[in-house]
Amino acid sequence: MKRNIMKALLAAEPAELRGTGETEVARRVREDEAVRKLATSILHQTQALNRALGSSHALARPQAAPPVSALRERRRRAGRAQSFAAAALTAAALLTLLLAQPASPPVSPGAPQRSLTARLDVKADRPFAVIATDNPDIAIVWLFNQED
Amino acid sequence: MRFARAAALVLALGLPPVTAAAQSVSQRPTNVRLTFHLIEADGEQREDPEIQAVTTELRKLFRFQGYRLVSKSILNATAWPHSNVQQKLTDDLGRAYNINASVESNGTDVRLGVSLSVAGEQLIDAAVNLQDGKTVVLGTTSGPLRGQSRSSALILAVTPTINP
Repeated sequence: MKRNIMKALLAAEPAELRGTGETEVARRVREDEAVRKLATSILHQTQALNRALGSSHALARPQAAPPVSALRERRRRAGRAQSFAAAALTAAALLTLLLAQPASPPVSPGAPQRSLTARLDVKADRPFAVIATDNPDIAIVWLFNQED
Repeated sequence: MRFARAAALVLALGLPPVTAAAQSVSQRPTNVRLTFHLIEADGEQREDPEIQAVTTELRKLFRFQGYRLVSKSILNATAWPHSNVQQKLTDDLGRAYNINASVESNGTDVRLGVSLSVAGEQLIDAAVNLQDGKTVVLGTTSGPLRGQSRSSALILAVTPTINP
């Protein structure tokens, strides 16, 4: 159940994450406090990542949120910039999940091999985002500065 | 496609993190060779083949104009159970870099603590689990470099080789 709503939040538009509109996600955000907190966290982390990378002209700059219908139309026509935004959202969500993970049980020696990203167990002196890449042998850890 | 990828990552992250290297210390010395590539973003238009695999992925995410390989360092450590190594570098502009690494290994995975300071300012301080032959890229924004007016970024890519 939690994973289902997480998947929906990952795919949601910013307006939906704010609880605007009549979609199922927007309704859950409005009505479920836990979902609202998660959505807010994703929004904040996305903005933080965009600020950090946008300051270096790294990611597409966030724009004011138009109506959901307009966003969906834009998504169909989106090109490279949309990929950057999706990557930012994914990274932000990953950060959120990393910070939200409960204490974990010991790992069985026979557990299947997991992705590089999942095994990183990053500790840092400041907020960070773990970003998976298309290359299974490369993972990125981006450390945020206060001014980001 | 993006959604599927994100969902897969979520599922992966839903699994517990591994701290095997920290939990299970090797009973015998483990030799670990760490290959560091220190990269400056926006430093170079020309593609450097030495870091092409990393910059290919960086270009998909970031819009820096280019990536300059500042230096390549290879540090050898014998983890029993842990070891500390240090590398001091100076780039072509005379700027001093200092890489400090602490290595712990159970013979399979490596727990790396690494810090990078530039001209006395610490830019990176983190710890990660590494796997043999897999590259972890640590990056952070920095102030303007090389006299540039806008912010840049420093990136430290590290690849371990266990018992080379």
